[in-house]
Amino acid sequence: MRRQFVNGSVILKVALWYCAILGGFAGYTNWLPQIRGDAPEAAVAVDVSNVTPEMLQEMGESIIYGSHDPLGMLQRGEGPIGKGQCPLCHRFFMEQKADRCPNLIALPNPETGDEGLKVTEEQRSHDRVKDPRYKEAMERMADGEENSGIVPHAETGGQYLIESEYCPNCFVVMGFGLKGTNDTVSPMPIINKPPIQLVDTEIVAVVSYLQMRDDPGKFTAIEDWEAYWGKTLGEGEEEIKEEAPAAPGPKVALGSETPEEIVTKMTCYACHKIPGIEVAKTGMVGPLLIEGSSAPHRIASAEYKARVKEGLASATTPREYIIESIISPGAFVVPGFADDMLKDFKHKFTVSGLDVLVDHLLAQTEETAIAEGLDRLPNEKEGSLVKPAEAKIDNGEKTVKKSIEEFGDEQDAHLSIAGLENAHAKSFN
Amino acid sequence: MSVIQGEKKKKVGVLLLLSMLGLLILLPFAVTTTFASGEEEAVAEEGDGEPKMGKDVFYKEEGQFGPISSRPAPELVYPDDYGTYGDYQSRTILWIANQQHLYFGSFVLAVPMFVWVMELIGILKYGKDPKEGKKFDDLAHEMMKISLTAYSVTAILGGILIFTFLALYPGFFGYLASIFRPVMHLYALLFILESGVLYVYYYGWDAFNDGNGDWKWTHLGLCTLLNAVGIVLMVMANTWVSFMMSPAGVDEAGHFLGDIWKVMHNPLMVPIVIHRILGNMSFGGGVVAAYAAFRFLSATNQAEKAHYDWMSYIASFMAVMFLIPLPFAGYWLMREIYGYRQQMGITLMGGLLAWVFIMQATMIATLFITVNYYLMQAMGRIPGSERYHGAFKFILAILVISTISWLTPHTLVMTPAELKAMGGAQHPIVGNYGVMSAKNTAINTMITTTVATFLIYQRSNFNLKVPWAWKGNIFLVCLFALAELNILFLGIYGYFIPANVRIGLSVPQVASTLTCLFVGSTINAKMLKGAEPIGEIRWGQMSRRGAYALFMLAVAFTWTMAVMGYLRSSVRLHWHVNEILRDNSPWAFTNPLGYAGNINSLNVLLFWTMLLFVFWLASLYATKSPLAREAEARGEVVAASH
Repeated sequence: MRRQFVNGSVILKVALWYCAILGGFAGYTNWLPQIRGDAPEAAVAVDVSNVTPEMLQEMGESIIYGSHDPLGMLQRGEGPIGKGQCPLCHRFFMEQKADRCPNLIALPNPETGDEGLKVTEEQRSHDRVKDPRYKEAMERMADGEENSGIVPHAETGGQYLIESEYCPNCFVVMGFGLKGTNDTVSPMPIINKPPIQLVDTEIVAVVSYLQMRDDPGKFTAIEDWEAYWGKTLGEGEEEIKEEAPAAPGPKVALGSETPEEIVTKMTCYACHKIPGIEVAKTGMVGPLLIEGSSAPHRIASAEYKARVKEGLASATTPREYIIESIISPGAFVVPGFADDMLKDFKHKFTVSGLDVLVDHLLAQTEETAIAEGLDRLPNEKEGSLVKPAEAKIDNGEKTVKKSIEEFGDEQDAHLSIAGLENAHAKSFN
Repeated sequence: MSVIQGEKKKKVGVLLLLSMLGLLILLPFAVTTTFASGEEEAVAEEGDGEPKMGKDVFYKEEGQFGPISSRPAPELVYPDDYGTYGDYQSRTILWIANQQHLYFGSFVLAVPMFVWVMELIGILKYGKDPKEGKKFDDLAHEMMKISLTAYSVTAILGGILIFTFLALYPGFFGYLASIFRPVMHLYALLFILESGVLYVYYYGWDAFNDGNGDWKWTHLGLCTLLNAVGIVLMVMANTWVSFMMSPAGVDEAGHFLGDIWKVMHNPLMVPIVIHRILGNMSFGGGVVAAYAAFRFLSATNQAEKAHYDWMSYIASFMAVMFLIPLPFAGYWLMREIYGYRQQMGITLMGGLLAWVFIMQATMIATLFITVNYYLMQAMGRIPGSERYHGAFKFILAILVISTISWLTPHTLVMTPAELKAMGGAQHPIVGNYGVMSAKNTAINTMITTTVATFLIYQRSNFNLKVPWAWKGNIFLVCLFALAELNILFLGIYGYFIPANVRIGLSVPQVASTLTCLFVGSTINAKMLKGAEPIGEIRWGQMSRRGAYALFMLAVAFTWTMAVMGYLRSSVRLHWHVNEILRDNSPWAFTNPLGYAGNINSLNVLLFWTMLLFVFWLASLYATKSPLAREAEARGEVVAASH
């Protein structure tokens, strides 16, 4: 009877053997590069006749942060950035570092200083339309704002918030305009156009979130939208959605993608202008990326050498410098800029994806930027790409017109206004 | 003579008749699907009472429109449409339930195919050598015994899988059920038929056994029927999977358009089915080989050892035989994926999931090295093989060098400091082996080397007697040498030409490999005609390392299935049903490879632990193999030719 049973030691040895094999395989997969493919934001389809304010608020939260736990993400050191990409520039939490655009958090009343009676964004929005500068903007743009064609006409705080999404230049909060534009040009992209391209209901959802976040009873977003546009929300939504490009896939830059796709996916365009990249013509937060010209100078600069001496930076070639700037942005911050570039790109690039982007940036020079009418920001100590002689025109308006002739592209010329004015100013100093 | 011929005809007639019966099982399947297409009620109507038509997402031109016959794909909302068990990822729980069911399902569907071949060989050999015929018949019978226990486990795991779907993914499962409703019960009914045939086939083994008479052929016919039902079941299950990857028969909103055949016959259905049938066969062979290895290790007498040694050889031979065409089926599947959605192909081969192919390369290299190692160990029991022992170290060296070359990545992920130290993401010397030229050369060299090892194994026991033996030997040496030179030359040449031209070089490289396989095997077989055995094969005297190598082979097969399953499933990214039903759960992201590796290892561990239990049960049921009983009664050691 005893021999009817298989020897237990054989079972044990076999089990140990395959456990060792499985451990080896699992260990190997953990040693290989780990890439997590996050799902892109869902295209939003909402039946506005049945939607509740709370649903819109929740949707808005998701569009802004890409999460329903943004604070938790911040505390974990992650960047809560949704498809709207608002937190790249606006501050929504005290724990967040973003000061390129106005704060959207409730702040103590500046007049009373009372911590308990904070002024919310919803309350602030009502003040905006009463601001004399808003009336001045209405007059200035009576024929329509240049990029959107919209004539500023918000009457309520909610309408103002709606308008800001479709026409960021219609009113620029003091101190937040592009340098040299006297707060008439906003660094914010038009939200219903590429690359962000939210549809109407998504914009209403974002505004709902802003209205209700600190004051749950203040929901007027749909009413505001319909009053502002004079039509029912949802009309023509289908056509807009059809035009909207599909989300480009998981947020990992891959070697199989073009530089344009990588820049779009990584949202570099939100801060930088990059020659050769269609979507990256408006970034006014970070330096112009012409690394074929800039990187050698930066490496040779005294500031960079100081960082090397401190052991914080280590690049010796332009390629290394660009990789370092993406993977470890804090290693060296270009003088004139703040250290507020996102720090998680090292988790978002495959090596081949990084190569694609680096190759593109290395190929960009002053010449390629000039050819596309792009210019450095005033903050960059290297100065404008436009020679003083060319920029020495009577006034700002003529400057723009001249650059339009030179560059042959009205929009690009407009976007280079900051650089031109900087050069203009220099020519007189 | 004419009486014998008449008997033969009769037997063949019986086999054909029963085989036809087996194939007839497809008829109700076809009829049902045809009826189902017309029976579905159109749920949406235009103003004049005419059904509202939807446009198919895949089928074009004629037949692209169909009546909207179901509700649209739901907008799933978390947590309403998803269930959870505490903080565990629901997707991972479902992953495990699915993988376990798939493993056992594959096993119980593959074993009858394997058994069919064994039983047929047994019947055909019985006329010349009843003892040899019975040996194969007993092997087939023993395998069915294992399969029977595994069948129960499969059914239990199927139940667990359904409950997991209902508990954790009710929204998704509801949608899929609404689309496949016309054939879901057919699937269940086929299981009843499968069970009935299986029980008659298994329990009727002895009753139908008259050597190679009509009853035995009838029994083989039952096996044909069993396999036919099994294949239909597998095809049906695969249509769900392929529908999720490449939906058809529905419109953009996910409405079912009334024709279930279009849903089932979606763009990736056929290549997935073919790939899975071949994979199942290979996997089944691997598991049987592992079972035999287990029994070999635990055998208490020489006869048992001999039997299971022989059985492990037969099973591993079957596994490798179906492994060889598998890459070609995989290539076809990948081509169809590119044809369906180029982005899907890029995600697999050059994008997010590209690193998984490095893991696949590791697994395939493991399989080839293990097969070679097993053959070398197995030659230890073959008199005459000593002549070739000196070549083993060179064969292993070639395999290891090829593996290292194959696994060298093109670029590496590293810290900025490492990047700087190396001067770039690509190593200046080693990085050269990371390109496709080197990889194609490596894998073709590995396959060619394995073919050479197998030919050596086949001839190691014989002194050749054909008069042209020396010419044949020279031809074989030249064939392999020229093939390898061609593979190497094209590999090196690939470094000097543009990438788009280089891709074309893989065709002549593969052609060299296949020429070695087919021409080499044929010439070798012809040279072995009338060859004189150098001595009797010492079955049962294979080293224990050889048995453990078979376990390695089987576990590597299982792990490869897991990793490629992860790859196939992950390519849908954030879609339950590609571009139709979005995954809105918190687990819609694609897991990194390390996590997948951990879950794969857990799945394989669970599977093999359950399988070990099944093996143990089988050892309880029959303490001695029939051959061992006979041998013991005669007091002799069983020896057999291969």
